[in-house]
Amino acid sequence: MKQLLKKAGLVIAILMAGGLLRSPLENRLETRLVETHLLFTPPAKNVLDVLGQESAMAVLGGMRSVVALYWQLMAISDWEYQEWDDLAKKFEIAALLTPRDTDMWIKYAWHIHTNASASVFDDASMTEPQQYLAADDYIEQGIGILYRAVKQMPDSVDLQMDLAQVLREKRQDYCGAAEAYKRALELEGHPAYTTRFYGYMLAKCPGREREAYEHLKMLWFEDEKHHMPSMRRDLADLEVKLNVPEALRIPGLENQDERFSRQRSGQPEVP
Amino acid sequence: MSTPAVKIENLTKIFPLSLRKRYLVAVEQLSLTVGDGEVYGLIGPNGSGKSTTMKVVLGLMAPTKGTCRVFGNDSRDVVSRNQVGFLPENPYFYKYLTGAETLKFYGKLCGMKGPALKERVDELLEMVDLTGARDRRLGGYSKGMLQRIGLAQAVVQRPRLVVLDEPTAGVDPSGSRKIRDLVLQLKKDGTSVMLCSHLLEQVQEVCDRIGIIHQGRMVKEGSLKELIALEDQTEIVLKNGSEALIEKIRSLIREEQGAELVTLGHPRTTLERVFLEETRQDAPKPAKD
Amino acid sequence: MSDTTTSTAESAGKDASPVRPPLISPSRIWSLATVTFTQLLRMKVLYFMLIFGLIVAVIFNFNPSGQTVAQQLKSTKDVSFAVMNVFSMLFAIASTAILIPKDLEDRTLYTILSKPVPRLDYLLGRLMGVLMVVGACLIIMYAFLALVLFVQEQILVSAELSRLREQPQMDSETLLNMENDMRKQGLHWPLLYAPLAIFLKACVVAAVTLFLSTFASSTLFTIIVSAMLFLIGHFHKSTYEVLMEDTHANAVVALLGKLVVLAVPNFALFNVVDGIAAAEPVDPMLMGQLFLVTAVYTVLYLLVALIVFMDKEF
Ligand SMILES: Nc1ncnc2c1ncn2[C@@H]1O[C@H](COP(=O)(O)OP(=O)(O)OP(=O)(O)O)[C@@H](O)[C@H]1O
Ligand SMILES: [Mg+2]
Repeated sequence: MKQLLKKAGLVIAILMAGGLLRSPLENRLETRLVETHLLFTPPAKNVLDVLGQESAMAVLGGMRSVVALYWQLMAISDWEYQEWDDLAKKFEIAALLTPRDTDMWIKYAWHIHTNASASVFDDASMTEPQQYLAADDYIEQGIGILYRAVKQMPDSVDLQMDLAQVLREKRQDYCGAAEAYKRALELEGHPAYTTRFYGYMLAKCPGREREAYEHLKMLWFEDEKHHMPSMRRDLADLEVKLNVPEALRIPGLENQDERFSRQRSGQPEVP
Repeated sequence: MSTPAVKIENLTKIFPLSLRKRYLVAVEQLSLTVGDGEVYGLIGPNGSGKSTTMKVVLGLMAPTKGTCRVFGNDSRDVVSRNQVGFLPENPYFYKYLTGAETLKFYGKLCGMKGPALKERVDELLEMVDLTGARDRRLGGYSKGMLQRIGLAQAVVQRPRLVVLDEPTAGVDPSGSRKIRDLVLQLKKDGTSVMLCSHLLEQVQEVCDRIGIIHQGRMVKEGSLKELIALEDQTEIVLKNGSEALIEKIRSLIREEQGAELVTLGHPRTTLERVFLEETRQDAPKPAKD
Repeated sequence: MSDTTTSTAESAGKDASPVRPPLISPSRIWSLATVTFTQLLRMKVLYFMLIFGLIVAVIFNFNPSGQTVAQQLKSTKDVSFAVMNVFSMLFAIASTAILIPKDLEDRTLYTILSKPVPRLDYLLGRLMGVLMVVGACLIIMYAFLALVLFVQEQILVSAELSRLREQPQMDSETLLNMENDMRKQGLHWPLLYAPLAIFLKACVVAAVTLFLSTFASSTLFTIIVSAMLFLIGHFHKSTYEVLMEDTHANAVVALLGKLVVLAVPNFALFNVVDGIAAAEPVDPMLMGQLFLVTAVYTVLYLLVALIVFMDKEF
């Protein structure tokens, strides 16, 4: 009996001593892993509250991504039945579990700002002005989701581009869109047209016409590949708006570039 | 005289029974010596401490008190296991391994390898008559076959001492005769053997020395000769025989060619009778507080 | 009976002087490990792999609406790694837990330990055998995943690219960017870190289970306690959090929490698999440290297992 206790004591002492020795290394490693996004440790309280026991266990057992995927898939039926609140709840769980999944965020936002906002017009219980207000609400919600995503991943080009597009198309917020394109420009992997779009958005943002003109003009002289119909149009409009003296205007804006119009048949760039 | 194969001195083994301070004395103040090259038989009723004693010899258990030495090495030291082979009671091996794989495995544990091991495995399979079943999995072996593979496993590294715990348990008569022959073969090769068995005739046949153990104590020990009467004698035990009847028998013996009356008086005993005699008291085991 | 033993036994037996077996003998451990490996394999563990293959194949053909190509590739990885994870943990716990009790029941423990086998070698051999099976299974499963992922990547990406090419306003640079985004979730070498991390986790789990099974009274006890420690081991951070936040926490609870954090391995560390599957860049140095942490845990738990097992009686 005494021997047994002695042995148990020894075992516990070794485990404790080992714990004391390894915990500094371990904690440093954990911090580094979290910093490099390899490890994600959701606050346990939140997870338990939101997920319920089974999912929480699975998450803790190392199946976070799969649980996140599961909730995303579950949300599909809410989409079919247009249960937007339920859909949002499920995506919130997925967002909690995989906050760095860009596609997930974009999809979540898309459901709200596009699908949900469109669905209100089928709702016969609302008057038309009510419907427009409700649709705007959803659009704002969707944009809010994208802003949250951007906060999680400030370095994601995809998110910035999507945000810019949504701001432009859904809210006609050209100043906001310009800011988003500008942030995208600072990131690696942005599409070539980003810099032009930035200019187009600035052109439509009240008070920033001068900036827009300078930017587009710079592009115009930088490379012929920028000589798009939209750019001609915007530059010409801006020259008029800003009262640019005739002598200083960009030559050749009016006459169509033959080579280019053959290729692109004069389609405007901004949808 | 070389060092004895096993030297147990004042061995006491106590098992704690429960958390309340109760103990079971399985072996008490037991001393025995198995000489080098000797076949020693330990007999005793169920629960008398035979298996416990053997486990101490193999270092599977530590003595509570006393010492146990195998060829001079403390049995708790892994070194002593170099020289020992063990067949536990009711052995059961990895049923997913074949006979040959099993022997190879045990050979490797003893540090054997290469062609020498392969040769030894073939030899052992031949020895225990399992060559035909070498590539069958042990899951499909009969009890007798398992016992024989167990025996082969015990002697794989040619140990100087083989400890056999009821080697013939559950084996049919012809199988148990084979095992007896194997033990005799080991003896002939100079291997010391320590065995226990309930089959007293067999113990009688193979053992040089026998110890009778009861309730953890050695109650009688000695050579077979010391323990029982000579084999070429026949006893007639008579009860209430009259003088006239005895005189008649004497005359009958005189008529028989070559027969002579050696003694007349109180009967000598057989091993079985000694055994029963010595272990008769069925008193419950002393449970100390 | 055969007479062949006569001469050989004489020569080998009599002159054998007591040679001390080395405390750790690789060949002995290896033979114990391979026997464990064979034993476990012949228990038809491979069926598990078949089921795994089926699951992955199902995932491959399963395309929930609204999933982008990158998401589809990622779900293949996520589901596969989850299955590999669950399989490895279950297998490591269950097979380690049954080994010693089974050996005891079959009395193979008697025959093994009555050979010149130090008890440390026995433990090491058993642990290694289990880990060899886990490792082999992980390799097979990963190979299968890699194949599926590769095929899926080729098919999905080329389909998506030809769809994108039809789009108006599509320039080659954008196309390239989008392709890169998709291929990022495809098959790459750093993905190999994931099965490695799972394997390391299995090492620790098996070592903990081995320790438990040296003193557990039943296999079920070992399995349950092991699974509990496994789950508790994922709570390290939150235990800290609770201890930090809750200043008026019961002193006993606080102490217990601290003890748990010190004694139970931090299994959450090994969930780096998630990040690896998400194609986050992996720093080999950090994986090296993870390896180191695993080694420390394994040695620590082997040590306490040995302390219990050293003079255990059977
Ligand atoms: N590990 C153990 N814990 C507690 N008691 C034990 C243990 N092993 C043996 N005993 C007890 O010690 C006594 C001796 O047991 P042992 O197995 O040595 O008897 P045995 O002579 O081999 O009997 P049998 O002929 O039935 O095999 C028995 O009463 C048994 O119950
Ligand atoms: Mg017995």
